[in-house]
Amino acid sequence: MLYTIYPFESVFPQEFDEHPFIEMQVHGRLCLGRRGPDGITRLERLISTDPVDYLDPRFTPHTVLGM
Amino acid sequence: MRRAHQGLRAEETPSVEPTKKKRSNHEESSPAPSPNESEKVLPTKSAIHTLVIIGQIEGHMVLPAQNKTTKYEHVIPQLVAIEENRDIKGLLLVLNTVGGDVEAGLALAEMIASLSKPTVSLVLGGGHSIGGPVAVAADYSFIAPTATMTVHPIRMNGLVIGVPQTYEYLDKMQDRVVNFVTGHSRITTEKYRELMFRTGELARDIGTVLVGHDAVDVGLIHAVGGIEDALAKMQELLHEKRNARRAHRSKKTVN
Repeated sequence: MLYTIYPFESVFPQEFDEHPFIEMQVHGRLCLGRRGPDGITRLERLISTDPVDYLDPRFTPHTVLGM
Repeated sequence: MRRAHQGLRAEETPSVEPTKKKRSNHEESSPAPSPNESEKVLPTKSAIHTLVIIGQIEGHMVLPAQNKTTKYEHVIPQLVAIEENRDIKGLLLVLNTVGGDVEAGLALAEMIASLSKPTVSLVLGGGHSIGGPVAVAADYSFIAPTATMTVHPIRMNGLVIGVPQTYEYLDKMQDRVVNFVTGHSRITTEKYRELMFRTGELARDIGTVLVGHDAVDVGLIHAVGGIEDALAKMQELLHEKRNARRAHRSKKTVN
């Protein structure tokens, strides 16, 4: 059951996203990547509770992770 | 249900090894290696970990990709690791959430509330709907002066069977939220319910929007503040914990 200020239509829109997030381990950290229309996977989000990880330039958003 | 990135767990985990190798080769060949930005030595660990609750709190249902989400399967193991790891002394929660799944939100809130380590929360931007219980779950809570918290009734989406049981189910779900919030903050049940069902505040809905100070005035949040206040409070809680442990130890030696 959703308890949110967002309307149902905003949470569940009609269009589908062709480029979903992919969970992956990068340098031993859980990350979300996304393969773009150019076929290149880029880092979208680092998932870590250690704030030091966010200072690591290897986890800069949009870092190329693979072809 | 739609695809989920969980379903696409990358076996093809992209390796960034080639980039790394290139860097080390470069360093070997250079006589006086200037520290590359990415090779700078960072502190290895932080004693205060930060959990950022953003977007929709995602539960049993995988939300479409355009939603920015906080997933319980990511967060719950992290909370377990925080509790278990001796090097982690405290947890700072930063919230900017629009709400989400009731059960996942309550699960996170219960996990946070039952951590033995000091916890401080900071609501930035928004801590709406099920974000409320998560914010009050911490030992001490802050809200930024411009941040807002919307308190409104739980609704049902999709097919709703028009029988009295539906209403009772909805009411029970709501009670779980109300009981958690009132049990972990200074707000009374009467006041919280009054805010929840107030009319005339929201354009298309019933409920209340609490901005910064309002959330403190009604007793939902402890204080208005920012990151400095949150970290100072964390240090204070850590200090109190250390003193309590010391007092306990000295009592033991006397006995």
